[in-house]
Amino acid sequence: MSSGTPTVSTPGAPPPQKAAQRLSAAPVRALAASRLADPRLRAGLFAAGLAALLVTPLFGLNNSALLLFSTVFMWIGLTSSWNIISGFTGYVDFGHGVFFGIGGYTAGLLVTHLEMPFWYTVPFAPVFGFVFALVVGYPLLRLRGVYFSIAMLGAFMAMRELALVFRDFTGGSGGIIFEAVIDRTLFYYVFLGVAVIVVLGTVWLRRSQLGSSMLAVRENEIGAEARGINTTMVKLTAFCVAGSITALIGSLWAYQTAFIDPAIMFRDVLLINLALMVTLGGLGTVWGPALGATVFILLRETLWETEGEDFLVFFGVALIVVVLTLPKGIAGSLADRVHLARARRAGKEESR
Amino acid sequence: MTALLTAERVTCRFGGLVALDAVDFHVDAGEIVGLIGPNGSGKSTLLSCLSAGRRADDGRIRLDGKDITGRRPSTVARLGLTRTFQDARVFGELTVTENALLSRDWTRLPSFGLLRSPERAARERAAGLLDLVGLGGMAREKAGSLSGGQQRLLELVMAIMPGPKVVMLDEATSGVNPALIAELSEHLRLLHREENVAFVIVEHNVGFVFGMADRIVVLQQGRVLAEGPPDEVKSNQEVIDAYLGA
Amino acid sequence: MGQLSQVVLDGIVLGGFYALVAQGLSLVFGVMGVLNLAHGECVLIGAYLAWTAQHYLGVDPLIALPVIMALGFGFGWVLCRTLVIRVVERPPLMSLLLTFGIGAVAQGVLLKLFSSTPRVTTTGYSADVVSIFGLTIPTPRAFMLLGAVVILVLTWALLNRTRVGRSIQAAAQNKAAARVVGIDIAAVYAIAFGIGIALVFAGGTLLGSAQGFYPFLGPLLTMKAFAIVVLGGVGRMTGTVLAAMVVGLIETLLASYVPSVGTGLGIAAAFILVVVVLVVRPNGISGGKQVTAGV
Ligand SMILES: Nc1ncnc2c1ncn2[C@@H]1O[C@H](COP(=O)(O)OP(=O)(O)OP(=O)(O)O)[C@@H](O)[C@H]1O
Ligand SMILES: [Mg+2]
Repeated sequence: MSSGTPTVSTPGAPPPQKAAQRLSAAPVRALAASRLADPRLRAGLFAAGLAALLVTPLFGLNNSALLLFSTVFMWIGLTSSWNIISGFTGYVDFGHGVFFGIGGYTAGLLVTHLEMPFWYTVPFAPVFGFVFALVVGYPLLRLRGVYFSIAMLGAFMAMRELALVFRDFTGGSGGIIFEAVIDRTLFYYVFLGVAVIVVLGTVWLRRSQLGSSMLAVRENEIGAEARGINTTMVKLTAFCVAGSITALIGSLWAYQTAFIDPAIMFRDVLLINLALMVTLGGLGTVWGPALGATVFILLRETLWETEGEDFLVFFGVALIVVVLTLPKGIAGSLADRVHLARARRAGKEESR
Repeated sequence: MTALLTAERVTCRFGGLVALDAVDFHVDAGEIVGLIGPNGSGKSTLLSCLSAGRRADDGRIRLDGKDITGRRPSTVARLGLTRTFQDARVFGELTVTENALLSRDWTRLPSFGLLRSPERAARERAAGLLDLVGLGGMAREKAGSLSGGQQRLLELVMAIMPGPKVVMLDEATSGVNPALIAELSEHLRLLHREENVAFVIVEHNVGFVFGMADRIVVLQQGRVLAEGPPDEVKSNQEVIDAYLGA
Repeated sequence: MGQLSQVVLDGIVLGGFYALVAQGLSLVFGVMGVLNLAHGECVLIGAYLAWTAQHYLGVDPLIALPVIMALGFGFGWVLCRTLVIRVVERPPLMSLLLTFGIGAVAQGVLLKLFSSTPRVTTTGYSADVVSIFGLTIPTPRAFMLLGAVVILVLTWALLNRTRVGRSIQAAAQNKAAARVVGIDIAAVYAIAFGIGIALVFAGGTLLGSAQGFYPFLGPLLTMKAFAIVVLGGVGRMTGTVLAAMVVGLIETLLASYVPSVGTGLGIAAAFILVVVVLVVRPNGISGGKQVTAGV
């Protein structure tokens, strides 16, 4: 770039004391805004929560509690990574489960065909997820919103078909059985680690230039391009990052379950769950996906023990209700409120 | 010396309608060019073709000796040719500062505070420019909450931020209050001096554009009707008939 | 050679069914901008209605067809008025989620009512075949093609030769302008949605006697219809029909010439075709509404 240095230092146009007045109003406003909006408080809460989660297993949780926790962590990882492509760039990936399946099958195939030990295969899952995202994303991310969404659903179904059809390679509908790693505590920490990294990554992303560029793409792609943002690169980056994280989680889940087949690795319910949890929490917000995943799983575990067709009906109705009553999700609605309160207070101050 | 930005025989059609008919256009380094013409004469279309937002059906466009025909709009912007839109396009969900900083290069790796100087330089520059146009106090507001006129000013900042060689403004004064228009022309002059930016100003506010420009280009029905210093164009009978009126 | 022309004929028959189903999706998408992810489930509801009529009341599917279509219109109309209308002019994600939810509910209810066992609507002519030029088609499949052609022609006439149809087309082209000239957009949406669902109910009815169906078939049908709509270009009826034929042919060709795995590759093939077409011709085979982001 030709000139990155501040050449416009102090042009005298607006009277400087005006800016000073405005500045002095800032602390009052910050105080008035919701307490949760204070980043230090949020960081503190996060650290405390994390510390609690780190020591919890030491107090002898039983296996089912450990599994519940690691399920929540896993979903936080999935929803937060889905949010990067679907929420931040606005390209809603309706077939994101394809990466989960790719991760699981990467693990399964490497273990069975090359007889690799489990943990050696872990790095391969995100790599394959990344490559798949690159190959599929390059043509498909040129499509406008809805077309992209459905084309990804197509990719998801196509990969499931391939996993079913190439029986000799993938085991077909019979699936692949691994040697089981039955260590709930281990998976508790593994999924906790993934969730923390993805959530912190999202926090960083939202403040970064890349994150602003993604939001700009969501709002007005042509305008973003005119501002010098290579929108193709931004979209591809978001997609590849989201895809590789999901593939990683898919492979970890496969180890935890010790069995994969096309029906469970490429399951439709995963797509519904992702959409529902993130919408519930707040699509495109930083904390919404994690919040939605936690609330949803805890609710499901405590209130409903449904399966099969009841489960489908329940999810469908929940999705419809959430879309119609809470389109911005919990986090989105809260943020709106904070903003409104702030604006109101600012208005009062000015009228004084 | 060759011009900084040259367009040769740029043609653009919408179906049967010829919006630009082999238009030749150039901007010299540091020049202020006024582009005027009746509604629908092709001014905005010319800006789109120059900034690669729309692919010209024919013609060549060169910036600083480099052929930029058919490049991506983002590439053209990074090479130093930016624009604003007739319908201000700011990003309502980002804060004013985030909007201003949008043209930073995100592919640069994050430095996590170790190598802060380019980042800090960009922030200071953004703050300086926002202060200049009077948006300094709203830096942390969402751009969507700005008024129409303020959004235009923000878009101007966004176009200036990367330190371009040429900035093209599509009706920068529309929706800006009269007192601020005078201020705006001051700002533009200041930027012009300090950064040596060339401006292309598309305007219906005749007083503003004739006061600012070194040279005026008049478009009519996709062709260049007249071109020259403001005084000469002002007294050109054809221009009076087609656009300025008696 | 004889085998090839038989395969081509089978492909055309299948293509006729796909054209009917895809036209329903295309109409709703073109007019409302809503991509109905419950589309395949609606096909199945039609199929199960016909099956029920035959199984419990002994009514032939072809006789039940007009009634089922009327039910489809009513169902679509109510669905649009109560749910879909609330998301029409909101971000596309909302309509995707909503119709996804509707699809999930429909699938769950179908599973509850009919289990996951595949069904076929058996009629007196189920085992018969029609032969032309030495080629044979099972009679139910011949009816499927015939029915699809008749219904598509009627739909074309409805959309192009009637007042309602012209209102629908006007709304598809420019909502604001249509409103200004006094068209009740909400009503047009409901009618278009109703017609779309009537078409897929008809498709389901015809499909049900030609081959087995089960509740999990829904998303597959939605996908194929979507692929066809994209291939043909949104809002182009001839394009849709052409694309449907292409997809039908590819499917039968794969099934008969790619041993053992060909039948399982319908979606994969259609999907790859869509990707290739979108890369080469971003606006579909025959042009139409722009599908790319425009950069
Ligand atoms: N996207 C488009 N599709 C079809 N025609 C277009 C399109 N954009 C512009 N036009 C036509 O091209 C011609 C030039 O339009 P343009 O917007 O460049 O005019 P303008 O000089 O900027 O006018 P104004 O002063 O009103 O902004 C007009 O006749 C317009 O109708
Ligand atoms: Mg214009």
